[in-house]
Amino acid sequence: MSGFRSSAPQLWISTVLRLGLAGVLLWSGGAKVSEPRQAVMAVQAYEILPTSVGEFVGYALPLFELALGLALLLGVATRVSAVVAGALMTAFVVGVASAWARGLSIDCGCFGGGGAVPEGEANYLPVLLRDLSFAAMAAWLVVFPGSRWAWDRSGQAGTGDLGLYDEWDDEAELAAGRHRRPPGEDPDHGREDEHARLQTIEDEEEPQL
Amino acid sequence: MTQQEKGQQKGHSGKQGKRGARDRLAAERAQQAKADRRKRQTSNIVIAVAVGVIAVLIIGYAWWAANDTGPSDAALPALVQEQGGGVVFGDGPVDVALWEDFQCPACKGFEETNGAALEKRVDAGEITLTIHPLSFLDQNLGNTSSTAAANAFGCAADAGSQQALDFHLTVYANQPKEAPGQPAWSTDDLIGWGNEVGIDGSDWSTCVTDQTYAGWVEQVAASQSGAGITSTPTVFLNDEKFELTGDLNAAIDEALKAEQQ
Repeated sequence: MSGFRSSAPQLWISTVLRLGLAGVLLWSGGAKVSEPRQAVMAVQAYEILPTSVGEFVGYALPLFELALGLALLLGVATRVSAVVAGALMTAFVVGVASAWARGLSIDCGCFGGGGAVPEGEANYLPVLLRDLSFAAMAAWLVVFPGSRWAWDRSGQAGTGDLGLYDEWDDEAELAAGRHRRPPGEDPDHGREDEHARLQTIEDEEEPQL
Repeated sequence: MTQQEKGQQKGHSGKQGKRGARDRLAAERAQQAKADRRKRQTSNIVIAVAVGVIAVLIIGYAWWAANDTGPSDAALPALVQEQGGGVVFGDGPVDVALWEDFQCPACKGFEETNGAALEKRVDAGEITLTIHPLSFLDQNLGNTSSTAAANAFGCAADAGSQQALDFHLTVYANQPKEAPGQPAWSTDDLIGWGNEVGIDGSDWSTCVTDQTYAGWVEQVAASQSGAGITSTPTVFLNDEKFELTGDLNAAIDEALKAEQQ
């Protein structure tokens, strides 16, 4: 999964999408976590999972969403987090579409609430479109995980990328007019000096060739 | 003596000296890459461990919550036949089970339409009515009013079948508009509504105030997800989920007829 080079606009787009998706997950997890019984009702209302499994998922899902939202907010293992978030959103799309197709009358329970609702009160299309757009945001981040203000690139603990992250593009950095971090904070620290030294040597060599 | 060493001996002048410098730089770079890789590995291990710990915590909590059935040996109100069971009224041939929350507006609507008729059928010996008072709306609304009312309902059951049914309808009749963060009623309200339907005495007020049946209320709340209740009210007619768009009275008549044949 490499070969995509980062460019300045992409970094900003990825940053916005990463934080946006983090916000969606933190919001939806936060809304559910204070009403776990309602969250269980919401999952069971889809009538997809067996009752006891639905109960387990109902209790686990809000916390899972919070954890995933936190990972995206911090930019930890962005690509992996985006893969998981995309899978989750796709599962929601499938669930909602399936409920619609089976003629169930339920509230999606996306941001709290949920459960069966009186006939005619269910509103599936906006939910489907919304979840599809969230899935698209996640897909972008899978392809372009590089973003600003992310732990992945902070150099605090190496480049936390689970080996699935593209190499940082120095030229994009420079094109974006970003100042280099002070030496010692930057995992790439030293490369520029080294590059400059090599360049000097090559320049000196030039006339002899 | 290699080219490189010769170059180094000659110092930094000349082509070979530059070659030597390049090689050293290449070695430096390789070392840097190695250090980067090590840093990255450490970081990945940290992430993996953190993810593992969080996953175990979430799964552990969900497992515990899904298997929680409330206190194992709670004090039960009269008319409740088993731990975590609903309050049972009458002993007619047709079973009607209600899953309600005292704070649920749709339940109020349901009781306004069907409550009196169901009570009459209990009296006539036509149905066995089981009422499971849920309390999930406490979480949604950020109060404890459903729990308080469910407990009081249990207390009312101690006073008698008729009183408990009347009390239950009185609470719904007085149900205020949902106001998150605000209690729907006070303990005194609940005690007063009991007085209105003829439940008096210190047993009643103590039971309501001390929440004598709080453990049972928790058991009932925990039994909800096992029963697959996805909204309130949920009605079961002879153990089958009854769609509330239908005519409950007619359906009970039909079930009675089938019973009599």
